[in-house]
Amino acid sequence: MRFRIASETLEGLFAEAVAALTEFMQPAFIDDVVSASFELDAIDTTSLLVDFLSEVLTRCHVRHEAYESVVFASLDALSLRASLRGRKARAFGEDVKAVTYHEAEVVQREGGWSTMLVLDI
Amino acid sequence: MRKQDLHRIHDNLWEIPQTHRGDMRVPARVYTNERMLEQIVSDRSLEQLVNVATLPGIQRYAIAMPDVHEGYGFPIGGVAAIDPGEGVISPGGIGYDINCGVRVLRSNQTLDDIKPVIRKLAHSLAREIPSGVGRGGNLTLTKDDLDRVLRDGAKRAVELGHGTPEDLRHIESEGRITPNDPKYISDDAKQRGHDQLGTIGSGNHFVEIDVIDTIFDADAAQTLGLDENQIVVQIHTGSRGLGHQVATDWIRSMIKAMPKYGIHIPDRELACAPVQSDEGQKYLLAMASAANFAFANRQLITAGARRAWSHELGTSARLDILYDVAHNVAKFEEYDGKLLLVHRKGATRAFPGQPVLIPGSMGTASYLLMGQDGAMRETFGSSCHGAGRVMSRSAAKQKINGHELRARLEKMGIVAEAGSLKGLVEEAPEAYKDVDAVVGVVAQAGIAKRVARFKPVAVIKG
Repeated sequence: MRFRIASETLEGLFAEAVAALTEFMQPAFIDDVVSASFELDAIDTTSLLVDFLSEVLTRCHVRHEAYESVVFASLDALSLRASLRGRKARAFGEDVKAVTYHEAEVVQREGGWSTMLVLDI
Repeated sequence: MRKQDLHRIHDNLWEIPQTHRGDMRVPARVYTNERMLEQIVSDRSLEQLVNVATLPGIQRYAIAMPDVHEGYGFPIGGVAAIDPGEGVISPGGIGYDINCGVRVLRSNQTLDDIKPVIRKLAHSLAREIPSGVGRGGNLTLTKDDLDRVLRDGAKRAVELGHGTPEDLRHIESEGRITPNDPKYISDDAKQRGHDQLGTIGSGNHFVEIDVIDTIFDADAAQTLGLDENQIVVQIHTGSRGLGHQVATDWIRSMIKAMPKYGIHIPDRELACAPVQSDEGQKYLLAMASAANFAFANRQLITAGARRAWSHELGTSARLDILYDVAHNVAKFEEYDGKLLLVHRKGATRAFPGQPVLIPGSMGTASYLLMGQDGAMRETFGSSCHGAGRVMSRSAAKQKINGHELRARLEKMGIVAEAGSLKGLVEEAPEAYKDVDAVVGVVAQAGIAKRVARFKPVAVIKG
């Protein structure tokens, strides 16, 4: 499953990635609100985004949660500190097995940031 | 890649010379006929094969099988043999679904025996063997239990009562790869896998009842206990979420480690580390543990199939393991007196005399082959692993009508027990290459010979 995401800001791009993942996974939400915080670093911004989304996906699988918003305490080209908010999920309509680096390349051009993302389903 | 970039070696083998790109360490070779080559050059699988040819330590050729298609980093249907002394291990060369593989069970029934109960049989298999998105298994393991499965593979499943010691004799590596060490599998990976043993999952995984419609080699078939009109059961699945998490964890780790080893690769999904490095050694132990999980998974599914079989056909009805092969794994093997680490991603080991299991699509045919000497000379003991996709899942969903497909399968005499029409459509026959042509190439190239062909009777998938 491949999709292109774009945003005016780097924070917006990362938030778009979470929103796209959650929408694609079709969570059957239950109303228990959940939150999670974590830190990451990577060798470049593309790896940072893919690793970040992988971390989100892992939490979806392990904790049976899906996330609807993300706030960054810090985010630069090589590291981040993020807080996710979402709800418990009884099940998912789509099985996303992994977030891949395939075709991913975070680029900044006039008007903002964009990349392709490919999910292994 | 253009067709004119390849040189024809013979009717079933084409080569991309090392001069094609400056960073190639060896040429790249593709086993295919000219007609399928037209299809192969239409995606990026051969560009990916050229990238594989740049890996440190690669020996002789980067190899693609006729079912090759675009994957993540490595093409699916790719083989790379690496000198472990100076070369690398790449998790992408094994794939996310570590030890995805195929098991064939041989029954003592004919098509006539099961015809009256085929729907009930398919339904019983679907009931005994959970499949589809998020379906957990009937066995939930504690962390210690899971670690024993990761260490002992199918053997542990048998110890827990899901099979017999005789089963292990008919599984590649007897269902347990060593050395292994579960401590290099993250808690997240273990958590993803703890309730997934005995489940098929979604995607292209399935359990299928087949009838043997053609015997090509009577002597080999007799040795394997196969005859025309006999019923067999195929199981295609792997290490589920646990394997995917292991791959995710270690690809990430190797991307970070590569700069310290001075490794530069053209695609992040080829992330790798020297075989002898700390990361390389730990990944190998983690990969072996995940592979053992997959062997145990197929063992539990076998137990479920046996329950369904005896429930519908009586206690004299048998399902014996014919063979079980991994098609996503790396193994140390000796060629010309030299130990090599052979990465097979969507490729099956095909040692001379070894059964090679080639599932086709659910509406066409599958093959049982037997490895030949040519595999040892030319392909590091490897063959194709299936038909190979020609249409993405998204494209299949757009182009194919699920109700029409189900009706078409029914008309062909194939019962489909699918969790969703979407899952069925993604695996429609037209989404795959012509398996007869794929197998024809490996047979004509002397890699593996045809022994028997299976036609589907019922398919169970998520």
